[in-house]
Amino acid sequence: MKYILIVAFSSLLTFNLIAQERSYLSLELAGSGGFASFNYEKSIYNIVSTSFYLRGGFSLTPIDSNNGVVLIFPLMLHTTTGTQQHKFDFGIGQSISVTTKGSLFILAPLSFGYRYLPKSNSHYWRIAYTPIVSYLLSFQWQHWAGVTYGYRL
Amino acid sequence: MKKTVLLIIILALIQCNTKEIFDGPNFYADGFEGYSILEDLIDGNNVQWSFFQNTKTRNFLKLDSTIFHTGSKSIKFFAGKSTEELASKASISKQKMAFWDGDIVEISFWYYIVGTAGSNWMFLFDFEEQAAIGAGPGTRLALVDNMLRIEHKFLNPDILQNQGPPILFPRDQWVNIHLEFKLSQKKKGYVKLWQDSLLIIQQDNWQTLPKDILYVTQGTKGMYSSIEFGITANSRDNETTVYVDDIDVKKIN
Repeated sequence: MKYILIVAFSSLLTFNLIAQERSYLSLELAGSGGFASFNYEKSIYNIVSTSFYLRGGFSLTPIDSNNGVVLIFPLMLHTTTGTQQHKFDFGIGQSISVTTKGSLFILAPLSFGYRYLPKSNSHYWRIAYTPIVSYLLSFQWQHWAGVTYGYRL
Repeated sequence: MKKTVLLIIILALIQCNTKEIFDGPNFYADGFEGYSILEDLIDGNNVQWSFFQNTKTRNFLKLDSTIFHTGSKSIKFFAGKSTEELASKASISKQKMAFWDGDIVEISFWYYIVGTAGSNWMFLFDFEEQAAIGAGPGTRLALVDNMLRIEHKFLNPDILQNQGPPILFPRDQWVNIHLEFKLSQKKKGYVKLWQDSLLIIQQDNWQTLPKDILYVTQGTKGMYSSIEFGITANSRDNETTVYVDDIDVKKIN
């Protein structure tokens, strides 16, 4: 699993921007950003019924007086495939965490979900299983889930 | 592309060598006999104790030769009441140790709590990990209703005394506390606690090591790396004076 994550991360970093078609602002409750995150998402490549999106988000969580607040920046590559309205949605990425006291760490969020796009294509809903994987110092898989509403810009 | 490959290699190497990078001693014993002044306890290299903590100006710790368990010295700790804003601590801590998942760790020490005043939620011993992000997740020994219990700084319920008549913590006398942990990030560990040779807590099939918790606790490694004795957090009820002697911590398997 570690090597799959590393290869996927490598792909994320070196991905060529081929096309830019749709962008969304989204709010994800729970999910890849922890308790909730705001995200900007942009489609970068489309082929038949499959699309690729890059997503950058922001979230924060207070810890305690010694650690301050942790600022979380999930960066993910999503791919969707399916019919025009009903799609399987898979995402993989890295979440960079920085605390206000200067600590830093990286986790790997994953997302396996269902994305619904209405015919108007003005927004989407996604419900997903979003495990957060720790791989840097020890391998840990945390079960988590999230619900997302995305508004097309 | 070269930078990406280099980053990937570095990340892979770090994970492979976690045990080497965070290696440290898995034993320590101190009867406080060899010190002339308190500052002698800290050597600056984590070979002996790593640091003291006094979180309030009135709090203190000092070498004492009036009340001791064996030899001629102990450490005296005094801490004022904790408040909602501030945990009142007077403690000594040793860091850079290494007790890993699967290890069985035996911890024995002697405490002498002065007076019979209430001290609900006074913490006597912390066994923790320095996670990259998070509030030192670990396991602590707490005094509640004058009875010892095991408390966790991660998502695990407290472990109370076994069924039977409650065993109170004696005051104004030396009391031996003996802990045994089998360390596990899964429910494959155990905790045993003896008070003056009487087994008062036994919990099997238990998670005894912290794991990452979303983004609140990150970078746990399946280990404990620090021990802390004294008044690691005082009660909000009363100020407290405690003597500590004959600490012995070691991996036994």
